[in-house]
Amino acid sequence: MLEFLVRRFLHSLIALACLIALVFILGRLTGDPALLYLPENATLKAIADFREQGGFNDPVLLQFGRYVGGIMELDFGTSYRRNQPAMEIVFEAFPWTLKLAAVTVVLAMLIAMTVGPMAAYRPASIFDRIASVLSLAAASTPDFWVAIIGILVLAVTFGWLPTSGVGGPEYWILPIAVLMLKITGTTTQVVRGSMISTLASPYIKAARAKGMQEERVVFIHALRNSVIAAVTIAGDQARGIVNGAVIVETIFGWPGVGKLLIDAIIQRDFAVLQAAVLATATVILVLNIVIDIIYALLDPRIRLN
Amino acid sequence: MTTGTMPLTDTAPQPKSAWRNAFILLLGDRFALVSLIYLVLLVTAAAIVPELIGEEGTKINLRQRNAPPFTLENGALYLLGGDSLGRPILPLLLEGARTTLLIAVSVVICSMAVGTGIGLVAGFYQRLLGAFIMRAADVIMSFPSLLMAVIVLYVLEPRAANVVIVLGITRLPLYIRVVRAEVLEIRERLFVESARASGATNLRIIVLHILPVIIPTICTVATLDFAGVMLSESSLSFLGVGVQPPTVTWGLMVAMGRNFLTSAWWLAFWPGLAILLTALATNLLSNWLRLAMDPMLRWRLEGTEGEEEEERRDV
Amino acid sequence: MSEAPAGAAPLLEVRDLKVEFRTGKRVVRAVNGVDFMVSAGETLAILGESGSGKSVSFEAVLGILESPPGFVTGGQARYQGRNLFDLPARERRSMCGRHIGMIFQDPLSSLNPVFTVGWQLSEMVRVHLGASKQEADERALELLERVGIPSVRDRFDDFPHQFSGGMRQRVIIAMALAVDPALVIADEPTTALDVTVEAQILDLLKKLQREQGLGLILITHSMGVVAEIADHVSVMYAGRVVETGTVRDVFARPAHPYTLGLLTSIAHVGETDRRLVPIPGQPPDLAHIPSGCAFHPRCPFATERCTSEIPDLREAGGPGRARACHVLETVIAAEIGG
Repeated sequence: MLEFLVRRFLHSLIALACLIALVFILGRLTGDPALLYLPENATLKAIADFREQGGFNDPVLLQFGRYVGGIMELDFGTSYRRNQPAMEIVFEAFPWTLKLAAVTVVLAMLIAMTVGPMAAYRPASIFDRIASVLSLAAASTPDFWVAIIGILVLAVTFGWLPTSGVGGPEYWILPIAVLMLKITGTTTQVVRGSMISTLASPYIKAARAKGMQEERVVFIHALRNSVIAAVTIAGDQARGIVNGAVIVETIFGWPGVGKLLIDAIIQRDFAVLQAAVLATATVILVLNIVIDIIYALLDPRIRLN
Repeated sequence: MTTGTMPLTDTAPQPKSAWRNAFILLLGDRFALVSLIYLVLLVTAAAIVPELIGEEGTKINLRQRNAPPFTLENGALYLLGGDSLGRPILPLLLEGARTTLLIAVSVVICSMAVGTGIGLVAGFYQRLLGAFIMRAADVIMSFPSLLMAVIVLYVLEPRAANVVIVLGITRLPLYIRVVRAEVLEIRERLFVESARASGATNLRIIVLHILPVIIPTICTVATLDFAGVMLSESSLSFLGVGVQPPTVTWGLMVAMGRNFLTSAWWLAFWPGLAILLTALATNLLSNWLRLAMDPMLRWRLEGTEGEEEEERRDV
Repeated sequence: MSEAPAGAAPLLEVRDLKVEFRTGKRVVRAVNGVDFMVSAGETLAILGESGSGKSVSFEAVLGILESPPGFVTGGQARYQGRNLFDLPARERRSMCGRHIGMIFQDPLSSLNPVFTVGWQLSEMVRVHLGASKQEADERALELLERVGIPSVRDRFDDFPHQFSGGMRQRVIIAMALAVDPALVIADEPTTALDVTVEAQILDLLKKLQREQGLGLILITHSMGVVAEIADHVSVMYAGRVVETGTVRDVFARPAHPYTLGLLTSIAHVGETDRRLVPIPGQPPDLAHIPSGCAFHPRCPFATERCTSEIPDLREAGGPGRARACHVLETVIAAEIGG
């Protein structure tokens, strides 16, 4: 198991290095970097000054060295909009996204782990058909659209929920509901599929022959194996949550990293944009390693080899 | 010693044509059938109707400003409502369908073609090149696609071509992995060995022997991927980093309609619904395709009578 | 119908069992009206090739048939007089688990890979006898020792993939015997094992049966195994029983061409001058069973009648001895060169 994890860790480091290089290339070598940082109506002089101050006229390698050095010290430059170090801004926004994501994941897993086995237990029954179509529909929904319709119906028309912002529990309902859609849909499908094939395997037949009642067979003997399947796709789902958070935070005015990202684009604040992207990517890579650890722990065949 | 020479009285069923088979299998899954019909109608409408309507569809007509839907008093074109400049939504929706579908199809085809090629190489030249390719593919896969697309399109211009390229790249690893896995498995099989023994070059082996076998799997993956691509592109358009006006996609329409949510909810509603239905239809169809392609699971689609009674029973 | 020896009430009595598999439009008659009977202390072997319906019959009896696509379409299965098919599902599941132990063919795939062997074993005791975890674990340790697993305390928390094939099969046997069943059904218990281990497992089964007076049903395609430990044998072909009787009798004087074919196609110890004669042809596709006697296309004695009329299983040569064949006994006796 140790070898497995070390390999994955090195792997993630390489991925991170590539991302850093990519962002650098995008930022410096695709035209005048000054144009990325400054507002569109900046004067030529302002642009030239900016290039001097930011060291953009220096040789590329030197720039890269400085860039990497800066990253090591978590210095991503200063946001020209807010006059704050970019990293600080990102750190302020992070907890909001994490809270949103954490609650979403927990709820999604709970639903998937109950609905999935129940549907697989009686395949082709009414429950299963409805559950399958619903989860497929959830996975096919454009989240931005649902968010908007949700706001229209629940907030504007009925006034039950606020339209945006943060505060008490009622502010959490819509953002979580929308963010949850895709991941719940996909995970339910995966768990259901995994359960159906597990339920057909010989050791389940053996468990039944042992006289175990069906609930026990489904929720203890079979589900354990399917949890592993769900964890396997957890990495993809984490990426999905990040993608979803960008949309949800933007629409609901949730002050997380996603909203920060889009604002940075609108305001042409490249420093913050870089910082946000790199920070998010790092978190995802770390998350992937954690998921791999959980996976190795859950599956005894990997743990003990 | 006499041997039993009487012929068997049961005969094996006659093989039917491939199309007829496919149709029967399709009947076995009503959702898939409905999905296919919906998609065919959509594509046909998107292709033909804007031409038929022509000028009428884009004329600004202030009398129909914010015309509500579900009423025919403004004419058939306004069945889905009118926007703030009085243009009918229905033709706009079909325009958007064209662009949205075209982009999604382009992405899928490009990433399928390139991904298959790379996957073949990775599967064949396993040692160094293959390992490197797989590492690169893993790196690409580990980034959230939206994030990457957003930052790339911010730096480069948001144009349809760029969108296709960026989305295509994020999809590549999927095909590379699948194709490589298939190639590795097939390489072990005897018929490849015998082809090699009879002197065929690598290229010949790939094209004649391996490609035909993996194409069904690739197609299944592609149809599965299509919905995801469409959703990604819509998200990008919605955020404003996808294609720009005057080109119109469904995602863009939702974004534009957002400003008029309280006064004209239909502006944002129809395009979003279209995305949902199309993605759902594609997903249902690809589920069916997966069952139909797998000989071991195909029986689930044959004969619908069995399905009604099919509840799990303890016998 | 075979009769039980006087005085011994049968543990399990299966009558006219029929099982079908329906996949889409295809209907496969896997089991076509079979009868079995086994009493305490006896070993009944079910002998047949793969596809003869032998495993399916007992999966149907125990209620663990995959359904769909499998369906029981007729017959009874009486355990100690009660018809299992009449019981509500929960009661039947519980009763079968408690009183009928099952040993499966492939020990690796019959054990849940994510639970320890100890847990899976003690689960039997916990669930069926309501024992506490501690009591159940103790009992599980005892069982593992009895079936010959070394250093049980260390191995209790190991997972199935950490055991060798032979050890795994012993674990399966321990599980089958965990709560003292009256009847054990062993489906090809030694097929996945090599010859030396096979001998050990068979000895173990015999010993345990003697010690506990179990009824044992042994499903197998190997005549060697039948000869080793079985008292009675029922030969199955294409979903039907074609011959039944004591092992000694059936092997010495086979009364059905299929049994005869099986015996002449293998080598017997001490023979040096007989040519091995394999049975020509293949077992039939169960979706298209030949009309009349299913064996007739491969049978050297087939007559006109055999192609159209299905032979019933009829008593021939004493109680408990039966065969399903139209051709007269004398013809077969002549063939053996009596």
